[in-house]
Amino acid sequence: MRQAALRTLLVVSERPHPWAFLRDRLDPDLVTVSWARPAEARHTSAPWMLAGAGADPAGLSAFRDRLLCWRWVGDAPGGLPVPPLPCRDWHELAAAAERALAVRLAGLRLAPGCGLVLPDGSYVSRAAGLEALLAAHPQGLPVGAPTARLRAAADRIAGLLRRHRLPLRVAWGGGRLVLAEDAEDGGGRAA
Amino acid sequence: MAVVAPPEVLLLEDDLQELRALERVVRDASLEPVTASGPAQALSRLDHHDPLLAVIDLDMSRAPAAERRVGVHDVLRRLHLHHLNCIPLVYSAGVETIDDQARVYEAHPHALFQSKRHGLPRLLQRIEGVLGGRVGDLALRRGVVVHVPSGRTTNHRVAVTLLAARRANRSVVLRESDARAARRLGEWLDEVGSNVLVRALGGRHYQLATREPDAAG
Repeated sequence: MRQAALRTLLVVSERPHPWAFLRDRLDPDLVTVSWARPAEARHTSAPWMLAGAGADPAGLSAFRDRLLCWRWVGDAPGGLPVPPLPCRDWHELAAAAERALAVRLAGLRLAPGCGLVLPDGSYVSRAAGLEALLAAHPQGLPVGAPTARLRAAADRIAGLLRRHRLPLRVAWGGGRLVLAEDAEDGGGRAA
Repeated sequence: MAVVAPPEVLLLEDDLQELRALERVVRDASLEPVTASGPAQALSRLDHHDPLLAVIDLDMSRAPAAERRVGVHDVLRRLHLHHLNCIPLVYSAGVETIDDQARVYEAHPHALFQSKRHGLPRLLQRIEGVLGGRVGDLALRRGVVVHVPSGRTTNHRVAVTLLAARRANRSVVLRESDARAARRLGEWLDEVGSNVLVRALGGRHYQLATREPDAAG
């Protein structure tokens, strides 16, 4: 499965209305909203955020071991790769997505289209995992058990943070991967 | 600067009067119309043309039966699969509901919508919004990319495609030869001191960005 070229919020629902609602509400400069029915979701590129509804988790197992933000409207079905962050309705989900797009931590923020803007204004590309992790701050990303693939993804993020001398670190804790400021007391270091 | 053909716009409209009106709108924007009065003709045009924009009516009830052996959604699918950088603008009375738009989405997930109810002036505004707007200190005017502060221009197809795509919040997928052109465009932008740069997103995807990302668009 390839990563979507632009930062994408994938709506997984039987009906297209949540897609249209989010498309019209979220800043198109920051995020592209796409849509798939549950059975078709496995054929899409990996998104930055997956927003689902309904009782059908089939097709979403393809996103297992991927670092992305999970949101679910209503009761989440069993069998999802990770427990998503629940939302009462699509309005609450839209507000959560807006907050996620606006996260700024140690001067790091999401760039338009995709990638990240560093505190000095320079741009970092090909950082999809870090984009998701930043957007999930402070709760972090639910990841379940740390598999080899997830560890590798966390290592890549930790490498990016070191390379750009960002005062941030990746920490595991309670089934979550968290981006924490160096001064904070988080879980164990990923790398 | 060498003279090059202006960017092409595919027009698919079964009402011949409206087709002529659309043609005028496109010519007024200094773009080259490629007209089709039915889906079969549109597919045939796409065999030989690579438009920057496609203005598409969904209702083909006035087209001859021979034209309707394929559907508008086949045209949209062809654009999605083989004309990755073409921006489809569905100009139709049939895009008012979310279900209408979802049907289009399934054929082409990046289609833009413009209701016919708002008339041709609004369509012209929409086309100008995509093909005439600014990105940073660059503007697309009459099919040419202009660095506004210096007045210098470039009319390379890749430059025009990148700027139009940025206006539509899309990335552009480039072949290797076009990727070289994108790099040359990046050099040109440096040379003129533009605040816009060409950003390689990976996987042959490219997008224009401003050096101060908050000011993009």
